Amino acid sequence: MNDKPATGFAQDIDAMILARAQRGDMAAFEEIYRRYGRACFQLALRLTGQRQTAEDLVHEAFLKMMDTIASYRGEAPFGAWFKRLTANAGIDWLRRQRHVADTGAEASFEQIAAAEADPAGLVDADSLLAHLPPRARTIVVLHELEGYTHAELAGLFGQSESYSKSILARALKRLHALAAPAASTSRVAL
Amino acid sequence: MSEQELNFRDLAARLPASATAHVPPADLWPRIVATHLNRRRQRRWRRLAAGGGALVLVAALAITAGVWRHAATPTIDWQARAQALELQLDALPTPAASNPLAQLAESELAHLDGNLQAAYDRGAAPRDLDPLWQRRSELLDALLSVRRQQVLLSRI
Repeated sequence: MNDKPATGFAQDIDAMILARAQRGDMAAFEEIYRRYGRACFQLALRLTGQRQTAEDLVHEAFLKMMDTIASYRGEAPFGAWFKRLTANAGIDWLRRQRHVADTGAEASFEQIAAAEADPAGLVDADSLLAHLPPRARTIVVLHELEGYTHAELAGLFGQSESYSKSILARALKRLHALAAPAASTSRVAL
Repeated sequence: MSEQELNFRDLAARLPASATAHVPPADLWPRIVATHLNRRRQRRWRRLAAGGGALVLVAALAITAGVWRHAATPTIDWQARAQALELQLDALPTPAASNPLAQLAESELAHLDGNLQAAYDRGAAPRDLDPLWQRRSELLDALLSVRRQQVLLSRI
């Protein structure tokens, strides 16, 4: 049995805090921020790869949450609901950046492949993600780290499941190729 | 390694943990609060403005409807009506004996005619003359009824 306390979006929220937040209580919103702010920021940072943009996404996600929490009926755990809200904010950001077009995603892969990756820069998983085009990175983060299914990704991006599977396969192949030298260096160093 | 086995979690496990602390900046929450409160205030103002606008609209509609209703109400030309009644009265035979009601109406008519004349002499506006002509019509109407009654009785 796993007794480890839940962290990030997996944390539960007190019914009283939720009820107060639904009435627009600022102290309750602050408690929600204390609980989920970090998870929200981490997801935003992984999705965008840029600290400033991640801050903007957290800003946007919390404002959206404050505006819509009154309509939250508890069909899904609060953390899962809020995670989806953050992911949606990330996808909206991608759309605004015009990274969502099919041709854009394919071209970005080729552009990034053409650029020489510096193995010294691949110090951790997050910096590895920075070597993916924005849309591919979003698919990797949501599928591999946040547990989204291909059907859900297809819905979010307005594409077919096979499209999301294809982008994911290409992205993972690329990440493994990039990480191979970095991982061996890391093992030697350890 | 086959493509089936590729996954990001295994890959990330082989790399060192992120050296950067992924913590939002301390001033992020105050910024969110400020934006939220600002938007809430703006929404409240917009609601108030919309409510005020609706009130103004309702008032304007009420005024317009009132003006329209007033304009649509048929106006009576009391002067013409009084003159028509006078002709009808003249057409009736003069009664042999006077009736007290008729006397009363005739006396008031004489007084009213004096008022009408005075009003015309001082150049009164139509809105001041109209009530006088209306009263004259009413008196003539009453007088006509009495005379008709008298005529009927004298025939019997």
